[in-house]
Amino acid sequence: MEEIQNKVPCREEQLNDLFNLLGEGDECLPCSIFISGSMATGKSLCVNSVLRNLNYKHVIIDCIECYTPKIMYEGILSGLDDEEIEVKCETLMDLTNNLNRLQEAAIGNNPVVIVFDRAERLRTMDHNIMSAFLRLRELCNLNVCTIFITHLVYENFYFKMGVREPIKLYFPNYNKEELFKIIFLHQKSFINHLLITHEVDDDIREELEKPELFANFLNAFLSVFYRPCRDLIELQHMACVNFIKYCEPIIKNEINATDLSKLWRHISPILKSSLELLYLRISNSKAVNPSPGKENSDGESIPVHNFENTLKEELTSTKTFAQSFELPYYAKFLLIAAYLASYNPPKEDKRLFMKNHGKQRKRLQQVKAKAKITEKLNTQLGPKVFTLDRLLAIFYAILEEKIGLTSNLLAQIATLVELKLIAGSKEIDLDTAKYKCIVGYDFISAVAQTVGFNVRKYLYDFM
Amino acid sequence: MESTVSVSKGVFLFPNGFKKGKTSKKKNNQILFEKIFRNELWYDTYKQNWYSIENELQELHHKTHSLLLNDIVNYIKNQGISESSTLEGIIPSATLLTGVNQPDHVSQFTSLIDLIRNEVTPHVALVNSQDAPSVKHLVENAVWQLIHGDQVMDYDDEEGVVTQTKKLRKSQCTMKALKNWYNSKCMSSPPKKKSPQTRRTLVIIIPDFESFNCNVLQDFVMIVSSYVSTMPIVFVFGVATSVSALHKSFPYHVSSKLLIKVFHSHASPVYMNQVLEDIFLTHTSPFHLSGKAFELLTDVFLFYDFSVTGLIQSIKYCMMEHYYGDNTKSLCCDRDKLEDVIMQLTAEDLESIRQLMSFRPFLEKQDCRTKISLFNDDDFFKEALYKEMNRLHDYLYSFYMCLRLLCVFVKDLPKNMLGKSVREIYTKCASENVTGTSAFKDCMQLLKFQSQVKLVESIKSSLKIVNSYLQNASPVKPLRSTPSKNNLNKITLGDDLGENFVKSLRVHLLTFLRQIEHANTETTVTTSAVSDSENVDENVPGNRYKLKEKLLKATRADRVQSEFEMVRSRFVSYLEEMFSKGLQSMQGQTFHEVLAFSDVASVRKNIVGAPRAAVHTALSNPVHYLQCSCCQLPSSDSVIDTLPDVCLAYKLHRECGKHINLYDWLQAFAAVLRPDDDDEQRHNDATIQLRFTRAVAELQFLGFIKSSKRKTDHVMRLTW
Repeated sequence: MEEIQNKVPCREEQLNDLFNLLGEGDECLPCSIFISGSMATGKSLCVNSVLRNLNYKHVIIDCIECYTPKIMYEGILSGLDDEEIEVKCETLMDLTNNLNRLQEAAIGNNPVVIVFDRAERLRTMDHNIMSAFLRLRELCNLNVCTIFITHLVYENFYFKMGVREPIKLYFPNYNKEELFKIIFLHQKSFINHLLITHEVDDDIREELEKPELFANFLNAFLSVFYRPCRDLIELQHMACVNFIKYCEPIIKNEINATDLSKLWRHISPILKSSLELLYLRISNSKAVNPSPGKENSDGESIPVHNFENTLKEELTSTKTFAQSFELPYYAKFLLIAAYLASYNPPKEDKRLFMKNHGKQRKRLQQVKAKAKITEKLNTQLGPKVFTLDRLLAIFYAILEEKIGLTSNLLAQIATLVELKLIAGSKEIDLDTAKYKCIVGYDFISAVAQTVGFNVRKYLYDFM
Repeated sequence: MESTVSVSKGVFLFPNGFKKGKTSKKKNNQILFEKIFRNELWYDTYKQNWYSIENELQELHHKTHSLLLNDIVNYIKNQGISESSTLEGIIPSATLLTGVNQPDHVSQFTSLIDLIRNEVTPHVALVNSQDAPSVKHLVENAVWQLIHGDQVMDYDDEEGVVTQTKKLRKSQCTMKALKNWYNSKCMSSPPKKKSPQTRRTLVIIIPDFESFNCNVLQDFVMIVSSYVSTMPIVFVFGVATSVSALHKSFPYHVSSKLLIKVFHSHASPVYMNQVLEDIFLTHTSPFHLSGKAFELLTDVFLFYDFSVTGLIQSIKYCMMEHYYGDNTKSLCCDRDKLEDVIMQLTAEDLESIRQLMSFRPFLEKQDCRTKISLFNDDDFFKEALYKEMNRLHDYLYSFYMCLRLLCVFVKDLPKNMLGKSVREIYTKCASENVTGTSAFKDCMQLLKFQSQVKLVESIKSSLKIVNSYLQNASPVKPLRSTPSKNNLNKITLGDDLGENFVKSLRVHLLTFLRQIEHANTETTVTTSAVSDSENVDENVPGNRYKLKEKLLKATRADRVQSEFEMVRSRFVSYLEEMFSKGLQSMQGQTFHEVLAFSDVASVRKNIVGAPRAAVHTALSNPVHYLQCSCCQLPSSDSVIDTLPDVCLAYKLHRECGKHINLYDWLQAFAAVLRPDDDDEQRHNDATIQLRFTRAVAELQFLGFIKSSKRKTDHVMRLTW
């Protein structure tokens, strides 16, 4: 018990519960246990270490992998069976039969635990699977317990018929002290990582290995990061990245390892800037030299050192995203045409794109409609579906030069669909192909800028 | 054939030992094709030239891509070695930004796979989006390729092992199977292997990230991440747009499983410029495109698809078109082979050369006797031809050099009047006499205002070009000094181009460079003196008025031309003179048709396919394709009864609005076919009804109309 608690810190209560439920080897196991809690709260780790400690026969099934139930059944069987034999198991019936056979042959009344990790995936499978596993013990003769691990609460699982309610366990999030404790456990690996990447003298090395230094760093780190992020994995990753930066001045002998306030002043801007890179996971080793061909296009090549920033900008503003890659000239116009087709009512096409569209009679209704409310703006309502013909008509209307309708042009539409800038309709209808533009106004205006086209002029909302 | 014992009726399959002759057929085709053309002179030349171009292309391709690919391969290698990542379940993944030119990606990825196979690991899987509509397919495909992909490679050293492992069925390929296979492979591999490459990395390549279904890919990443602790797996994503696409389609819990490293591939316009400049726009390339044709091809590239492969294929098509069936085009070959080729030409070929348009102005320059001997004496003509062809090569040689020189001088000028890259300038120079255009004159005007430093710089770089050209040209030299017969001297040749031209150019450039550099020092002394005095003024704060006055005075005062300025204007006028000599347009050259391809119309027709336009002409003017006498139409809108039924129906339907009433349509149809009968008889005629129905069905099949449920007696028009 102690041993496990050292290995799995800050989860004493949950570990105790698990032991109480499973611990007595001669008693019957509970029928099923349901464990929930958000990501990175140690659910799987607890269950695994408890099961290993109890030395029960157990299988762990990752439900995401089971795109067909067959894989799951066969995984269970081959996990429980010691001998390597090819089992074929297509249905639940086969599974129970096979389990019974196993009971007679090998297992007897020994406790068996089946763990379903990421059990939320069971919801999308056949309805009977989850409910069958909830009462698996009633279906076969084994002393079996099923454990479901998921980040959803039990209420999110919907069953048509009444099922046997499992025993529920909840894993709360770690608080700040616990996070500190857990990350602190990995101090060794942090130091090792640092030592691999940097050449360090022996005396400085000793300084670095002092736990106080790391503890100080962690305090500073968590004070910045605890608010936006509670995810242990991400925190660990970010800590690893930032610890190296924290130690750099020490390695270079610029700041003394004991001078905490100076270190804090050094690291706090770095932490703030890396806060913006949270969850992005870009490999930070920068060994890439720009290839020689790049030199020809000085304007286009993105400087490598600046890359993290550009990515950040790309994610926050679509404008930089649009500028980050180049489309062929007509593809740009096609995309603009698609946008216009998506966000203009087809009725107004004539007025927008034809030169002599005749005078519009003002009716009361239209005057009223002119006083637009923002909710009614087409640009706010999301894209509408349009047909290929309409797209091409608008394309020719906004393009000044005359070009033929060639196969190359039509192929560009397919390319745009492939790049996920235009979405094709789900059902394929050769007669009337339907599309939808799925990029926003910012993107289009950025693209239009590069070809010198005024989008606002052709949008009904801005008339 | 044996009979079956079955009582029921049906179709039974009897294996009769017939095998599909697919492979053998292909071979036959090739042989047939070769057989027809083998003895033709033009085909040989074409083949040789295309091979040489292809080789150059491959070299260039290799050169430009190798660095990037090596980077990726090194990254993958390092991932295989350093397993010390602090957090488990994280998949290292290389993200390759490929650009939106999708047709080129295939070659990029195949070369990547080859490189990985050779250098890192034989276990590579490449899964395209069309092969993976669901997680099941994706996993099965990837695993199958990982397990079986190495067999081609390993056949030599581990033949025994390969034959033992029987091929898995697709449905058996689960991640578990992969794990078992990997474990058995790792355990069984002898320990001596372990030291250099302890664990062979498994590489999964996703070439078209955007077209994958996000959810499928997310699940796949999650699955792989749960196995990455037992097997070293590396992803390679090909992303066409930008890295943020990756982040947009993966939620946090998936992207946290990936360690993303980004690689930028070449922008394809840059690569295209390279291809064109290094391979096609040189004097060594045997085949040249005229300005118009060249413009068409680059336009297709820039406006439509950014695909270098497509561009190369279209150039290949142009070459085929150029050579096909024409022996005179075999003259379009390397310079040192010219003599042999001319010897092989028959009298007919010579005759067709004499009929070339560009031969005439050449002819008019000669005196009477030479004219006659040019027509009657084949040998004399051959020699003249040889001489002219050599001159043409000389012209090309100096043309391309001047082109590059012009590019050096012009590319930094404001407003981009002639364009920035060699190809842009080429389109201008090849189609007209560039020195006569206003853009060229403006450029020269601007050059007159350039600073010393800049000018020295461009002269130096142009000297570099000239030197490299002189080096390249040296092997041709002995050929040029072939003794020419006396009577040939009678033919008045144009001004001397080629190597001598370049040599004199070099001398001139060198002297100008010296002069300018020399003048440079003198002027800087004066300017620095002026700036010194200005500095004194500026040091006094609030002395703006004085400064302004001084500036005004400076502008008013007649500027005495410094030595540098004089040299500069002389230099620019020399440049003008030189370019007007070197950059004459291709059309003016004798026999330019032989070397330069200019049939733009046919290329456009064949390369830039216009399916809708083709269908339209076929239906509205069937004579265009049928070549029959019965369907001659006075205008494209008129109808006559001899037209095919579909054409007739098509023409009638074009007169209708969005909805077409079938009955009216039939009436009109019948009225054209039987103008004499009265209405009742017409549409009661069964044959007419039949013909009409069939025509309508065909139109529907072609996608022009569609039946609508709302109005059952109407059809909808689908085109405008």
